[in-house]
Amino acid sequence: MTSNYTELKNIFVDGEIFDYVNLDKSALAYERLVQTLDKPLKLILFFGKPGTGKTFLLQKIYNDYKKEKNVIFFPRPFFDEKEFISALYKETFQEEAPHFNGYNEFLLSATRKLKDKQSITVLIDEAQLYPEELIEKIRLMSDSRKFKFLFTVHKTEKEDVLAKDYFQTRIWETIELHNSSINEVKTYIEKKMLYHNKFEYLSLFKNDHYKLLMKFTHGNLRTINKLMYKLFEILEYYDKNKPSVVRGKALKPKFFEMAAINLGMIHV
Amino acid sequence: MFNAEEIIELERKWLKYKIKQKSKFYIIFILFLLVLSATTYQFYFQPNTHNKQPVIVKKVEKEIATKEKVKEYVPIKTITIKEEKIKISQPTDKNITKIQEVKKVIKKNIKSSTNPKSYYHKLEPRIQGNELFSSNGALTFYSPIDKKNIDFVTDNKISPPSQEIQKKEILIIEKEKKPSISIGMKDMDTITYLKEKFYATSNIVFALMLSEEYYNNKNYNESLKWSLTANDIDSQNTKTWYWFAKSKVKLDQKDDAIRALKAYLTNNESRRLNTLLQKIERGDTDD
Repeated sequence: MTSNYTELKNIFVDGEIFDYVNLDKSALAYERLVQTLDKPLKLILFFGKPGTGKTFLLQKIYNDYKKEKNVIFFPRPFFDEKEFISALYKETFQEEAPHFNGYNEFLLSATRKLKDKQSITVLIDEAQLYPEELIEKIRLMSDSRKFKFLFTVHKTEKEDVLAKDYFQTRIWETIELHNSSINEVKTYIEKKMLYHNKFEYLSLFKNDHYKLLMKFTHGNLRTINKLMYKLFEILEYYDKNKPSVVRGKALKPKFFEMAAINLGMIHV
Repeated sequence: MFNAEEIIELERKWLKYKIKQKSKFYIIFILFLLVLSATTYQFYFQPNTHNKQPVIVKKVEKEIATKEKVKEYVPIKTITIKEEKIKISQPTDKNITKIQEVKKVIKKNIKSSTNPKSYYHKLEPRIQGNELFSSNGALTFYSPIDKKNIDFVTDNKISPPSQEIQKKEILIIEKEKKPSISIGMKDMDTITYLKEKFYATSNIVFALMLSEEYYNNKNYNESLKWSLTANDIDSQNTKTWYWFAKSKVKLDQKDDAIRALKAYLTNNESRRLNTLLQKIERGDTDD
């Protein structure tokens, strides 16, 4: 037996379903990122706390401009120079890469093939995971003006990757993405529900629920997804086994708290 | 999806979380109540030090009321301060000493005055007890006026120096004591004051003082009345008999006075009442 909450739960499976929700803060960052694509920049740094929606934003830019602006998107990090060069060649020229003995050989070949063509914009996600040597090679590639790189970096409290030399001195432009405000969280939930034709369930959510969401997630979209998934998972259980508990027009804060306890957001 | 065990465990954790969360409020609430109780107790039940300020009048009242050894008795009319305010902050010995010093200055100034129409008597505390009234050991009494301590002075410029002295006294006291409490003193005569005190406390001391005061003012009927009032309170008090007898003599009821004194002395001993009895019998009624 499938509960309505099962479908709602699946809306918030993080990373599985791509719904770009146009929030205020992401709209602003989106505009700035698109503008940088047209500027004669070599390196751009796009950073924010994990879960603020950087990857989703990059993916949207890639989907919107991959045809008209020569945009390449690498959502997974590379740890090996050869693999990176091969992937870049394949994406740039839409053909299998020949064997290159080093990045110099690749750069010569690529420069020759590109000639007077428009430069290629490479969107690199999880750039903080790339080896330092590879980052240095990428920087040298950008000097050729044939490639423009946009690094997306997680700014964590444990390690300030932005303080590293190669991000501090080589970057020409930086864009930061902050956590969402309560209104943005509200919009995020509403648009998610609307997008998946579950608008009728929005009446379950009241202002106090959004405040609780903010309290537990600090406006982090990834954490919101996790919490919402867990919330609907709990409701799914009650709906199937104790329907009287979930009967009503609004959700009990208890369910949010239970979800937060289960995810370790509340330490008991 | 969750299974039943997981949900039960989750509900148990949630309950624990809620108890933990609410316990904080309870602790804060209990602490608040404790602080409130302590503050209330402090406010209502702790002795208020401000009320112990040794305003001259209050000090006299206290000493009389407690029947303790009286160091100084000053009838109100002798220390009347018109529309003046004495500001005293703390009942320190230093302050009292200062006041006494100022009084000495006042006395010195008064002595130097020469007005024949005016006189002042400065009252000093009587160290010696009045034998007449201490015979039964129940109460000691000190006459408010001791002739030895009365200074008859004359002065042509009484008012100005007196005011200056008062001002000096106030200024000195004010300089020393901050923050201060202001207590205003109104003009009040001794009789009114003593009556007020008697009606407020029903203390025999005030009745006796009234009897004496009326006697001194030659209002012997009232003096008799107050001696009887005092006797109603304590019939064994020798002072009540003393003022009763003296008033009777002045009212030309000498026989009553003698009969009363004899009746008292039949069962009690009092050298002073004996002396008084002998004087009355001799016809020596001068005070």
